[in-house]
Amino acid sequence: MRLAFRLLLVLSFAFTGFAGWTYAQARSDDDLSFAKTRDAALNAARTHIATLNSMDGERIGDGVRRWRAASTGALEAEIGRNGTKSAKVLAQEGTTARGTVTDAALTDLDARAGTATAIATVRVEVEPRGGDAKTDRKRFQADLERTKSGWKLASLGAVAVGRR
Amino acid sequence: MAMTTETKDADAGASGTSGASGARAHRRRAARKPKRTGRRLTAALLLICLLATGGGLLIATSQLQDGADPNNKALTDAGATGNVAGDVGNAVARIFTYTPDTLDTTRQDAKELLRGEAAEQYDRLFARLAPRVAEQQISLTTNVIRTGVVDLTDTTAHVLLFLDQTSERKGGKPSTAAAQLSVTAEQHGGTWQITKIKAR
Repeated sequence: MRLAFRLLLVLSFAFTGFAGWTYAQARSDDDLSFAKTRDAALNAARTHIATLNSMDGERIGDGVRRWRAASTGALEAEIGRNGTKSAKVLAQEGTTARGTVTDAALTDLDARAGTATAIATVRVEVEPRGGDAKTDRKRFQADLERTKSGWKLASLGAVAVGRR
Repeated sequence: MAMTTETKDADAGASGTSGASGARAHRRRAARKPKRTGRRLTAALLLICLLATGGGLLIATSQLQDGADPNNKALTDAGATGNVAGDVGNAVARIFTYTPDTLDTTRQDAKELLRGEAAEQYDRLFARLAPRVAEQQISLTTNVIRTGVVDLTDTTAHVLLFLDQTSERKGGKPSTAAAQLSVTAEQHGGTWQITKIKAR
């Protein structure tokens, strides 16, 4: 009984030592922290690019609010400026769009500065009010910036053919 | 009376002796007991503290790793990321670039650069394409304009490519179209080979 207890104690020391070691390893792993930043930025890029390719034709106000929440800097300002104007047009048309990011990658990441560049392919289902839905395939490049509330899109543009 | 006194005395004597030795033993036990319980308590507390600390550290470690894939070397290993992006980009450009005269070279290149599902897919495409290319004198030029490495390990990679493809018929006007490919590649003997191609 006492031997078993001592053995248990020794094992607990070993367990705690091991746990401490793995923690120290993870803590001092620069690659891990960079990988974490990378995955956070890429996830944000995927989510936000899908958001900016989506609009519920019957709830334009909510859609524009979501666009602003997904963006920062120049892009947010642009949405703010054109928001009300394009919202009117969108409301008249009543077109609903659903964007799905089919693949995405970061091409650049500066973890210290909090900036990244992403490319993404998007499938957009466009459904005009009372019309037939059609599917578009698009490709985008986006700049991301880290803000207090996570990574946001600072710019988003289609990568046009013939423009390197 | 005397008997009773005697008995009493004897009793007292007997109980006296046994009482004295019993008390000594009790004192010994009493002195040892708190010491032992104290030690046991300390050891048990130590055990609990050790297990709690260890458990806490493991939870903290998993929180540190949360949301990150530590095996994905995309961008964390800049050299390897650049290499695979370059190799896969070159491979895609080569297998989708041909003229009626260089069609055989393109096919040879594809044999080296493709493998598995991608190789079969390409063979089917090529079988359909080759007669038309010769007949209508079609040439195709593929330029890779963006490359992003999504996932990278020592032996496998997932790469997203944006392409501009210019095709031209003899005597016709060239036309350029956009294409996007998600490519899976595997490293065999130091070179990257494409195993899967999916148009996006």
